[in-house]
Amino acid sequence: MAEFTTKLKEYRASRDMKQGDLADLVGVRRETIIRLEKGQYNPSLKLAVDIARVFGVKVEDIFLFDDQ
Amino acid sequence: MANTSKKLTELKERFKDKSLTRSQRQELYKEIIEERYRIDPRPIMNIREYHKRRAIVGTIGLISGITGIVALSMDKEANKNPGIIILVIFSVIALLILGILIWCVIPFITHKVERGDELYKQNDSKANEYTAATLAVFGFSLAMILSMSSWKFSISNKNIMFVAFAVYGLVGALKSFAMLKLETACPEEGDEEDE
Repeated sequence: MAEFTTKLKEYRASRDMKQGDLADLVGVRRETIIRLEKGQYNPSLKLAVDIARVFGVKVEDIFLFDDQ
Repeated sequence: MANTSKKLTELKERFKDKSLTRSQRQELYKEIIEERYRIDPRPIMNIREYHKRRAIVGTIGLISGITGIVALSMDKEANKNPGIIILVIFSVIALLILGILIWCVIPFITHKVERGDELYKQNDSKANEYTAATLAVFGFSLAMILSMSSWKFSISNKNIMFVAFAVYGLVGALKSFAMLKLETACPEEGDEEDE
């Protein structure tokens, strides 16, 4: 599986949003957001899309794979 | 209930509005929390906390079951040896000590457990695999030890409930220990930037 990096933390900070706020909006626990930000968890397609929708950007703007 | 859920959905939709200022967002967040509390006023118990308590309760169940099985097996003359009597006494003492930990059980009734998400489901299935593997090793080891010892034991209608109780406690405790290993502790909200 390709390694990925994420800009989730930057996007969240730019919106003055806490991890708990984002977790509530996309219907997951804060722990999931923490793992995502650390790149320790590969999100499902639905979660990736939900997060992208919250920030109004494309999925690939937030989640970047090594080969990109 | 349908109306309250609809209201919650509306509040969440409003939260996505990019034009909101930080204070407006915080106010809206408070409204969401209040609405959730209005739907179900029980406090939420963290999944990790839940499994911590469940592991202790499972261990109590396991020791209770084993104590019952060993105590009942002493009706056979061959089993009346000092080693087994000491084991039963220690088990009863351990149970008395663990029994004092009643606080482990109360929150199962008074709290609601945090809703699991996709990470939880992934961890849950991993924990099931670890539990199955550990049970296989545990069962094999136990069978080897019992076959080498002089202890006479057979499952009958007298002890079947204790066997079921011990197995149920063991499985519950093993799964919860696995979940505790997989679910990392969440730092406080204010500390999140220091990670």
